[in-house]
Amino acid sequence: MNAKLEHLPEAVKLTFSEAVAQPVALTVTGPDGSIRSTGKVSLRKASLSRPLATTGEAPAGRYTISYQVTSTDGHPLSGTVRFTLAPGVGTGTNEPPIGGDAANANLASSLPDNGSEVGRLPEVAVLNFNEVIAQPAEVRVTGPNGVEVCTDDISIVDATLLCPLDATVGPAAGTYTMSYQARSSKGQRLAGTVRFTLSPSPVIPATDVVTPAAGRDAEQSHPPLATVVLVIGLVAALGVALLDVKRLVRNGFLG
Amino acid sequence: MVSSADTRTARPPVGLLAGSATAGLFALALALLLGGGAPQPSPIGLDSAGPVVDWALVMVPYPVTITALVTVGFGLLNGISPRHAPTTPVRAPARRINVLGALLWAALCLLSVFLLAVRFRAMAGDLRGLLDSVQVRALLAEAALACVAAVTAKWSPRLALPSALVALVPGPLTGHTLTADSPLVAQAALVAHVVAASLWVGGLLALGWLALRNRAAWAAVLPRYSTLALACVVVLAVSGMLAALQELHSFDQLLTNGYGALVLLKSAGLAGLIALGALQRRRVVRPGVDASGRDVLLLLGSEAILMMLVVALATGLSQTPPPN
Repeated sequence: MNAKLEHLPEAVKLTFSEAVAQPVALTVTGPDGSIRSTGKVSLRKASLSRPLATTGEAPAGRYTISYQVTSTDGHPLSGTVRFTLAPGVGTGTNEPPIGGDAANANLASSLPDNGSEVGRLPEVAVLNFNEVIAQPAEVRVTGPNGVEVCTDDISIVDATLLCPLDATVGPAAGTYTMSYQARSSKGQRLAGTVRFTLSPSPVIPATDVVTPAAGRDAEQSHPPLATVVLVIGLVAALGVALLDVKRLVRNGFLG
Repeated sequence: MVSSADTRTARPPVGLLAGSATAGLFALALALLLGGGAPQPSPIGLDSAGPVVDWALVMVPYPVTITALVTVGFGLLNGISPRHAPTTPVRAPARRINVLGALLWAALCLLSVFLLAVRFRAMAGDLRGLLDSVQVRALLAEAALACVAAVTAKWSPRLALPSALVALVPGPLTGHTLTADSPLVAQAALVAHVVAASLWVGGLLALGWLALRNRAAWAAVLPRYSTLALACVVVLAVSGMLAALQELHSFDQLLTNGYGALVLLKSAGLAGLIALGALQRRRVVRPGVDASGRDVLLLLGSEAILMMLVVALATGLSQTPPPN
């Protein structure tokens, strides 16, 4: 998300694209490396939240929300989400970066963020509102060439509107427009537009933003040496097995 | 021609068994690394159980599967062996292997629970909520049912197979099937797939053991197994296709995704096993006890090696996140 905040929120909340299960962990680390999260992690269906320490002055800079959860099919998911606290401010009671109560429902954050540049299209476009939303909802993500990349498989999880993006259309570099319409639980109509730019080269480091939805399919990096060692081990083990078959045949074991 | 009492005492095929099992472990690690199911390092600031526990958690399902196959295979052997003379000398050792396999199966399930508990504690700080985990419940149920299979194998060999098959059920009811498009269809397809695969592959293991130990007994059991194996292959193919369709939504995903690539590799391995099975019917089952010993050994050896690799791929597949 990489949102910029003026005040450190009282709590952080992550909403996943589907329900998650225990064990879960969530930690918020400040720019000085100190742990800013406190208390217990709360898990409610697809949402994970944890209070932040409200004592003392919160240092300005980049904060990292690290999470680990277990998907309903048993896979561990993990990742990080970052946000920046502007200099010269401290702990406040403003709305958290995701979720929270407010008089009027509105968009709290999105992935990709409004005005941001991304190196590649995320697999899911995420719109986080500050209160629970309901159908009818609509999202259209249009590329610079006018091609619609948002699939019809739109889903709502609590306060989050999700739209899987179609990676098969061959995303073009340029400005994308994400238009949305939904209704809050109180019936208020929510509509707006978020714009982001897809640049040919990654602007954000690969480890900088990992959304819960993307965490499952995040590219795995593994040392080539490990692969080579495993292939050699596989071939050697197969060799041992085949040599034993040859020995059995030679010895006429079955007569 | 070998008499029914000719129970072999020559050196067992340790190299074949150890080599193919080890090859399976390497294949599983490769499948996890290249397919996307390998453990990931913990994000900054979070406690982790460590790479040893994380890797053990993804590798232990392989020996769990192998012991389940041995239990089902020897349960099948005990179930379909004729009661008359040829199989008499091998009944007692077959029953011992059946009991031992089931007990090992239960122990490995409990080891998985222990590893999950270690990871749970590292992540959540305590063990509250451990028993709420679907995975943990399924493993505990599997361990309990495997113990029941061990008891029935010891006291009532004819019931050994049904009880072993029941113990296979908890696993497919969790995992990917929970998030499939139609969970009930996916679970039914996967249970049928696992049962058919276990009967076929486990039976093959038990028959291989019998062929090396007592050829007359093997020749007496082989026709019954061969008929069952054919039915299993049909069920395996249909249920496997249904299960894959639940997770893959286009042919592209077979080539552009780690999960899809593993499905392709596993299908190729199964096709190889089917081809070897067909060859076995022609060269070994039809001639029966007169089949060439060389043919029997070459086919059994090739099947054992390929089977271990396919089991490893299936284990890797079950732990690889599907594309959707």
